[in-house]
Order: sequence, then C-alpha cells, then structure tokens
Amino acid sequence: MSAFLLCFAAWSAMALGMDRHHEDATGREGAARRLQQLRRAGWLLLLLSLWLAAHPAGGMPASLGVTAWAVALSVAALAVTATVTWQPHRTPVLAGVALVAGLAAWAWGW
Amino acid sequence: MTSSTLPSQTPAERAPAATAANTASEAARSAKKPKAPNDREGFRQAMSWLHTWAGLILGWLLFAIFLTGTLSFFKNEFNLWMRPEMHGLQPVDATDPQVAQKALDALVRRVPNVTQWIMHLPDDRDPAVNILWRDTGNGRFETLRMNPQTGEAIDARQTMGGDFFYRFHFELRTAQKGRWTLEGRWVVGVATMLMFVALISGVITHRRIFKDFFTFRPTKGGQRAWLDAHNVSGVLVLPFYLMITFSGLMIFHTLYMPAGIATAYKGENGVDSNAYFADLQGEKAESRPRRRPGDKVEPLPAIALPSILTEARTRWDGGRIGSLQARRDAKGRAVVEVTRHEGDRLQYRPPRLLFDASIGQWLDQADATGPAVKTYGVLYGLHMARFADIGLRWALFGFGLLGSLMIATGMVLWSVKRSAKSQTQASRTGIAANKDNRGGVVPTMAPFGERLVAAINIATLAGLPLACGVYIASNRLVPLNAEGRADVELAWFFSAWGLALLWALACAVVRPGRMGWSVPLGAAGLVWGLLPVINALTTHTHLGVTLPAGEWVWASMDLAFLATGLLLGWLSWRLRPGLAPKGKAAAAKAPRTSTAAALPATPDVSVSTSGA
Repeated sequence: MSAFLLCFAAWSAMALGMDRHHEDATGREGAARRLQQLRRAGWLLLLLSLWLAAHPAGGMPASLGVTAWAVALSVAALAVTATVTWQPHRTPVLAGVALVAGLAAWAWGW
Repeated sequence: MTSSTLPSQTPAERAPAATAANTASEAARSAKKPKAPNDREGFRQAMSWLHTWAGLILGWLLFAIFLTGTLSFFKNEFNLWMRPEMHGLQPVDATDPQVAQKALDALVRRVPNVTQWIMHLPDDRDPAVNILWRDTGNGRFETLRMNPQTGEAIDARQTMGGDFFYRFHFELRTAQKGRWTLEGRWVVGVATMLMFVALISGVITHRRIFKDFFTFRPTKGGQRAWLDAHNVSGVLVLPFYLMITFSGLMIFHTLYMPAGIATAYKGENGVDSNAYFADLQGEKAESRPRRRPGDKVEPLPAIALPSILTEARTRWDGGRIGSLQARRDAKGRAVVEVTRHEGDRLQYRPPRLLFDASIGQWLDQADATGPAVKTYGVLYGLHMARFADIGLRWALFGFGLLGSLMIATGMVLWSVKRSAKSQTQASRTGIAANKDNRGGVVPTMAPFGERLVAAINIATLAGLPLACGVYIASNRLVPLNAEGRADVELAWFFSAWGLALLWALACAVVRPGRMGWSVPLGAAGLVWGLLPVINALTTHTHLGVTLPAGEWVWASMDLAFLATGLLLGWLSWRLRPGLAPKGKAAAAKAPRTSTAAALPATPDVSVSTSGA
C-alpha cells in the first residue's frame, strides 16, 4: 500500500515535470528549471519507495516486497495517467496527499 | 504499442493529431529504395513491420491465451464456485495434524492398494483437502476432495472448473483427459515467442515512449484514441508483460530447447534427462524412480502423519505446510515428502522434507539452491503468482485484462488503419473517412483479407467472453448425472465459440455492419449477467445465502460475473445498430479507467472494420 502511494506521488511529479501535463495541471507553462526539479524529485521518490519496499515490515521476505513494489509501480502509473487525463487540475494535490499518506502507511507497516 | 505499426498513407492523408502515427509512409517508400535514407529510421520501420505482423499472425490466439491465463489467477476460486457441493466447509486450524490423518485414513479405506498419493492441505483459498492418488506404478492420478473436519469424500459434480482455463492457456486443452497437449504447448510456445517479439519491437518502434508516457486522449476519438489506449496499456504495464511472456517461455524450456540438456546430461544410455530434472528440483537423481507403463509397485504401508508434520513444522520454524506426498522411491522404500506452502516465498517450487514413511524418521531435504535453478524458480514463481495475497492477485488480474485489451486494441488498430486507407478516395484523413462512412456514403467493399481479419476479430474479441460465460453457465445447467459431464461443459464452451465465429464470418461476408459486434457482445453480456440468477435457481450457494453469511469468496464470484455482464452489455449497447455515432461527443463521456477508455472509439471500428 505504501509502495503504491509513494509511486503515485513519484509518477505524478514526473508527469508534472513534462511540458504538456504541467500546462494541463497548472494552466501555465513551467520553467525548464522547475520541470527538471520535478522530474528529479520523481526519480528520487521512486528510488525511496523501492528502498522501503526492499525492507518490508513483519516476516515478509524482501523478494516479495520488491515484487509487490513492481506491481504497485504499474498500478500507480496507470492511476497517474487516469488523473492527468480526467482530473489534471487535481494532480498536484493528489500527489501531495499520496506522499503524506504513503509515508504514514509505511510508518504503520502497511 | 506503437504509433508506427500502421500501414502507409501519403503525407496529405495524415491527420494532424496523428503525427506520430505515420512513419509507415516512409516505410513504404524506403522499402522501394535500395537503401534507407537514415539507418536509425530504417531500423525503426523494420521493427514496425515486425511488430505489425508478429502481432497479427497469432494475435487472436494470444488474446485467448492471455484472457484464459488471466482467469487462471482465480483458478482456485473458480474451482470452488463451480463445485457448489463444497459450500459450507468450515475453515480448519492449519496446524492440526489430524486433518491430514483423517483424510489419509478415508483414502486408504477407499483404496487399500494405493501406491502413491499427493495431498494438498486446506488453506485460505481452498477449504477442502485435495488428494491425487493412483494404485498403479505409472498411470493417471485420480482426484478426491475431502471434508477437512471428517475426512469424508465430497461428492462434487464432474467438472474441470477453473482448471480448464488454466490448462487451455498453456496447452490449448480441449478435453478433460488431455489430448494433443504436447502439440498444444508447442503452439502456445510459438505464440508466446511472437508475443515477446511484438513486445520488444513495439518498444523500439514507439518513438515517443517517454514523451507520451502518461498521454491518453480519448476525446480525440478514432485512431488516435485507439493508439493511445494501445500505447498506454502497453507501456505502463510493460514490466508485467515482459515478465509473464518470458517466464511463460522459460517454464517449458525443457520442451522448447532440449539441446542443452542433450549436450550436458549424457548418460550411459543416451540422454539422462532424469538427472537434469532432479537438478532442476534440487533432488537426488538416484532417488527418482524410473518406471515403465505397466510396472507393478507395492502398495504403501500404514503411515502415521502427526509426528512427521510436527517435525516438519519445527524444522521450518513455524512455516506453513502446503502438501504431502507418499510414494516409493527408486529402491522401493516408502517415503513421505512434505512440501512447504507455495505462498511462503517467491521461488517455485517450495522446499521439501523427506521422511521414512514407516518409522517417521527425517531423511533428507530437497530444495533448488544453485543460481541457475533459483533464477528458474523465481521466474516460475512470478508467473504462477502463488505468493500473491488478495490485493496483489486482483492487481495482477487487472494487468492481465489490460494485456488482453492491449492485444485487442492492436488487432483493431490493424483493421482501423487499413479500412481508413481504403476509404481515402472519399476523404482526406483516416478519421474523416470513418465519419463519411457513418454518414451513409456507400463505400466500396473492403478487400477479402481485411474483411476476414475483421470477422476473426469479432469471433475472438467478442466470441471468447461469450464462450467463457457459456462454459460457466453450463456448469449449473448440464444435468449432474450426464455422461462425461466435464467434457459436455467443454462442448458448450467450444460450441458457443464456434457459433460466434460463424456469426462473424456471415456478418463480414453477407451483411457488414455494427450488428457483427453488437450481437455477440450482447449475448455475452446476457449470459454473464444471468449467471447469478442461474446460480440462484440451481444451487444453494447464491447471493441470497452467501451475502448475509459474509461468504465473500462465493459472493464476490457472483458479483464479478454480474459486473462483467453489465460491462459487456453496456459495450453492446454502445455498438448497437442505428445508434447515431457521436464521435468526439461520445468519446468525451469516456469511462473512468484507461482500460475501459479504449472502448468509446469502438463504434468507428465496428463500421469500418466490417467493410461497410
């Protein structure tokens, strides 16, 4: 669950770092520098979520944690695609909520 | 998966929105020139050609493999639902050794001369004790399902249940007692290889894979929406497709690529494949019995299981026990093999412990530990997904459906593009061609090949869901005492599919139009939607019972059938003859998920692909 939420936040950041989706979401063109920062933040979040997934709570083997992460990666990418397609304005808010909820879920061991 | 798999158009014909979709015109021209002007583009176009044709040749078969394989993620649940006699089994304490002992006692009472048995203990997906047994040295196994509380056999109806989908998806099984299964595995192997080729060539051909990563534009309608749906469903779930395709090939590597074994495992009497399989499973080759058909084997002695189970659990530090097996090894000694539960780790198959059957003493353990066999085990485990809990299982199921949709959109795109091309006289762009078409302009008949593809598209993409629904319905409708009942159910499945094919061919030849899609989809929606009703009329495991009792495994099957029926019915309604196509307006009301969103453009296709 935390893997999905964190991946969602990461993919959202990457989508917001792309010209077209940035414009759809915010209504204005983003500066190249800002877009690059967003994309970097996205990559870092992805790495963070992978690292967390490789250290799962409880007795779960790391291999199963990483497998679940790989599934969450694709599910989150689909969710972000749906968001930027039908709710582009809400993308930044949802990404923020997902980030906070993802960290909370991880802290509770979900 | 790509924008450039599509056939040639002249630059003037290009839709402005479909800029990425038109490398094919260059492909056509460069094919005539002795050398491509740009090597990189030339390579891309070669890949585009490969993607198109590798995808088309066995695309229909791939769709069937993908869809039935996806249903197999819920094999155990189908097995349960299709045997309503199993309803009401209480969950048991998994650590209670008496469960296994009671089932074994019941088996021995029934078959005193049993020479080998495999017992799957109940778990959270399957409440019964399942036993495979035989009283011959090398014959077929028979199946028994036992009540875990009493050990009594459950008199369940004759059916293949979810095992049919499972068997069909890797060996095209057409009867309960398998026939042509090796040939079927070869055909599936070739299709899987082409799938792998199509995936890789698709990635290479997709020019804007990063720029269009999240891009989906259903409102643009027509080809653009189909292409986006194909790309999005292809790219975002690509890791799953690559994994499932590659691991599917690797599972049967001994069948497809025996040369390595023949080289490395030379025995005194030719190739010693037995030693190879022993290595693959982490066993000792000398303990594997080699018997010819008809060899006599001494029956098993009386076995006391509780002490064996207790010791196995201690050795695994409390890990779950999945199954037990008793057999005679190569020396004729009776042994019990305890296998850990498949959900405990990623690698398949799980570790095993070997005990002496008569005195219950621990003998040995078996587990694949070498790097190569571990890699194989992990690939196998990923494909089977036995480790997946309910959430992960639904996610993988969704990926499987998306994969089926990716294949389906690819097949439809092939038709859309070609029919757009054949309409170019009537219009400047492919999209507009469809519009003219809908507007009632009488177009020329499409070439035979295109109409054939359109017909088989209907037969597969709409016919298979219909056949699956009919198969499940037949499980409730075929009389319980029918002779060869399991095969009668399969006959229903294949008859429904055959009828869909006849219908589609007739539509493509005689009366092109939307009817071709709408009727089989509507029939499928009706069958799936009625499944809960049929269930309620024929069994006591219907929603009226299972919902109040909170039996979610049973209830969610009915609910999922109903949802499938509604979805198919809605699709059929959207494609009904006489509906004024709304194009962009219709597409604007696109469904919420990207999966379903491939559908709004379908009306265009039903018209154009049927060569209207």
